[in-house]
Amino acid sequence: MKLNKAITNEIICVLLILLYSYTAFSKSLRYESFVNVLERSPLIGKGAATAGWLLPTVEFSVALLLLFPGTRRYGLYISATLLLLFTGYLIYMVLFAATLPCSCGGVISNMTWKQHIFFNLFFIIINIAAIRSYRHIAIRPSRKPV
Amino acid sequence: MKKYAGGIAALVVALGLSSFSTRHETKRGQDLYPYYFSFDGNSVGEESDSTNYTWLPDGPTVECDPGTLHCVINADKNASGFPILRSGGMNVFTEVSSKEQQ
Repeated sequence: MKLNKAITNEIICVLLILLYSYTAFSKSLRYESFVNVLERSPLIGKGAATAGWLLPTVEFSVALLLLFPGTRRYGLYISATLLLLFTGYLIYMVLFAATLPCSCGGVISNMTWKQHIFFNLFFIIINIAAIRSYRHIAIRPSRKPV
Repeated sequence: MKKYAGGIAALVVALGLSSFSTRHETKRGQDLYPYYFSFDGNSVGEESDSTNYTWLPDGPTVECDPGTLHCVINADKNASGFPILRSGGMNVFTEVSSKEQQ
């Protein structure tokens, strides 16, 4: 049972690493386009240049935190916070923004904003599941041979 | 090393996928810069103000194939933007028809 949880946790972390590193690499490779789109966002606007390098840096840092078992717990908490913030931003934009610029790369750019919200909700759910199972694994004392 | 295998594989896959999609988009856009418009199925909407893309004197014209969502935008010869039409939140495959300014 504990082994199953550990494997599930590992799979979720790999999926999150894939998500964060993919978006970080995509934004870095298309930096100019990314900043261009951020400039048009009503919530970011003038902070686009800073957000342009800060977001991929944070995303890549989270991927690295998730990579190493010693820092994975922090990575999961930061990842859940980022996903919640980003989903809140998407919901705000869908409800209140007049125009919807998209800076997503590759496959994600083919999604509508509403599909993107559901995509994020999926990752939030598995992220929270990983935090819960990680806490469970960490709290349960391991049996020592007598 | 074994315990990092999944994560390292994910990093490598992510790098490969992102560089492939970036190269694909750049090739599709003929090395032009990204540029975004809204599109309601018939006409081009708001223009981005951050690049120096210019239209033909008659204004932007767009010809689309509704089946493939492949659109051709008639633009200035010196256009330096990569026009991306977005319809219903989706990117529509576009290309620039670089005609001489009339």
